[in-house]
Amino acid sequence: MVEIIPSGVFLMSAIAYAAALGLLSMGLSLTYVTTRVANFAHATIGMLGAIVMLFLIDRVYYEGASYKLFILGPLLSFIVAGVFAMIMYLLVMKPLQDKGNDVIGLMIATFAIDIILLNILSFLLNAMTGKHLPKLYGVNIGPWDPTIQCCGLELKASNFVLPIAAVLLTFIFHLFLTKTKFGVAMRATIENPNLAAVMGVNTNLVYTVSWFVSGALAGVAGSLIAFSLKDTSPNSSALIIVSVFAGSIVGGLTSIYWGLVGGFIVGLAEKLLTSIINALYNGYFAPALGLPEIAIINYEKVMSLGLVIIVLLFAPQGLAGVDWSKLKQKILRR
Amino acid sequence: MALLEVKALNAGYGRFHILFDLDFKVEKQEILIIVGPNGSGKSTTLKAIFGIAKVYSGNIIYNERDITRLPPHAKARIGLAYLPQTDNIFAELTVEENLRMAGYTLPPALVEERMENVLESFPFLKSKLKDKAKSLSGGQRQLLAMAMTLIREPDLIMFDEPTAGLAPIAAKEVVDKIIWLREELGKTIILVEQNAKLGLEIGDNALLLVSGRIAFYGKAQELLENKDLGKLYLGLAK
Repeated sequence: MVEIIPSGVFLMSAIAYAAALGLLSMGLSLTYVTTRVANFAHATIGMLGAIVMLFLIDRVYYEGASYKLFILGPLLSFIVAGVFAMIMYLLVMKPLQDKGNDVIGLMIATFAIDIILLNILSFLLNAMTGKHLPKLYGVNIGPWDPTIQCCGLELKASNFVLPIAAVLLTFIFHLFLTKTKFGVAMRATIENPNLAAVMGVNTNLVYTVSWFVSGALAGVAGSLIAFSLKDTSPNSSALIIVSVFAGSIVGGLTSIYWGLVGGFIVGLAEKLLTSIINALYNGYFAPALGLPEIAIINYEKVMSLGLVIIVLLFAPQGLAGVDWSKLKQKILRR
Repeated sequence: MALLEVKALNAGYGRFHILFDLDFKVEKQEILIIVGPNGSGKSTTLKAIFGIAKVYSGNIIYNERDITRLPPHAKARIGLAYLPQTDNIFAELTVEENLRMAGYTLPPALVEERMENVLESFPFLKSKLKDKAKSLSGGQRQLLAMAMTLIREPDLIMFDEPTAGLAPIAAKEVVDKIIWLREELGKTIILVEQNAKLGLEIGDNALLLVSGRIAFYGKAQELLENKDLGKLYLGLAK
């Protein structure tokens, strides 16, 4: 018999990956709704979090990770990636916008920043030597991810911390947006920047803060997903960015919360659906029909991008554009 | 001394010259009605005064001060308010958040105090504070926009077609509130109104714009009784 239902450990790692994509997609949607920039450097900014983790392991926690690594790492990554994204906005994106560049021009600029950042990071990691690690480029930090016992399962700490961090950060961000004066001003600016400006809101400050938050969320996601990556080389972002965009687009690109949901769905689809289809095909169809075995598990991105097309066919505005109450009524009437 | 004086105003958008040599005054506590056919520059006049449309030449004097080149947020701070025809509230925010946004630059204690006053004047908002503004009807939205304006306690309020698209009862409620603003709170009002008869009946003075030029400027009652102009430009057949 072939196992079709994934194991608890695999399920947890899929949820963790989905939570990371959720955070990344939420951040991507945030800078899009505030400044209309589709940021292709977003995943590489997230990789700054992975590099923060790498340095913490090399300098402080080489002998063995403690729970402190899982608090200090995401916290530092939050700041480092947030500050980088903010500087990127102030030094490049804002001047380009002020000069009248359109959405496409700005998007290409983020491509450029992505490539430049990737190369600088790769150069630095190759050039530097570790305190304990023999090299810093392309290190697998998975071994520093302690195993913890939970609910009769042996879970990786990062898989446990990631969903908690995602829920916590979303909750805090939600409180910020609804309970603070500046948060409400941010929502007002997203909806109608001209009217917000007339009310006296400094919309430039709102945009700058939105870039910080976007980068910070990416940094936390990157710092924790780093343990599950083959290695922490910055190039890993190239594959992640595809899924992040898929998540934001499934969410609708126009809503922060739906971005989170979109990222989560895409993450789950990539891991769980591929695993289930892989088990079904190689366990049943291939032997029964005499077809060759295919490692479907290697085709995760087909899932996420396929999902984008399916969602856009049925809901051109993504999940945010679906009238859920109408849909509910329709289903109940049947 | 007039509260607002517009002198030889030429304005438009970029290279599109829309207003030509406008001259008019608004006294304190006056209601000035601006009427005219579609595309005659009624809304542009308000936008030029508020600093949203581009002023090519001429002067805008407010309280004896030349404010022609002042940016909109600075004009808001010295007592001018402009209510656009649409998008004048934040639909995705709650009614309470909308009112608080209106007092964004004011000290919190003052916002609380003014919110209480405004809710006394617009009692229907009390039960809707936690509702999203998009759940309000068209008339209620205009009243919310008006309430938001009052939180900043402006002296001169400019309305751009506040009754457009409203049912007659809702339109009457909005117009009654505009009269109340002047009678009870002593506000000065410039009202752009597509329903010329409705506007001219409540206005003191009237400005008839045709193709960006003044075709009539005088008592609102006179324009209402001027059969030629009324028939030609305002659809006031008698």
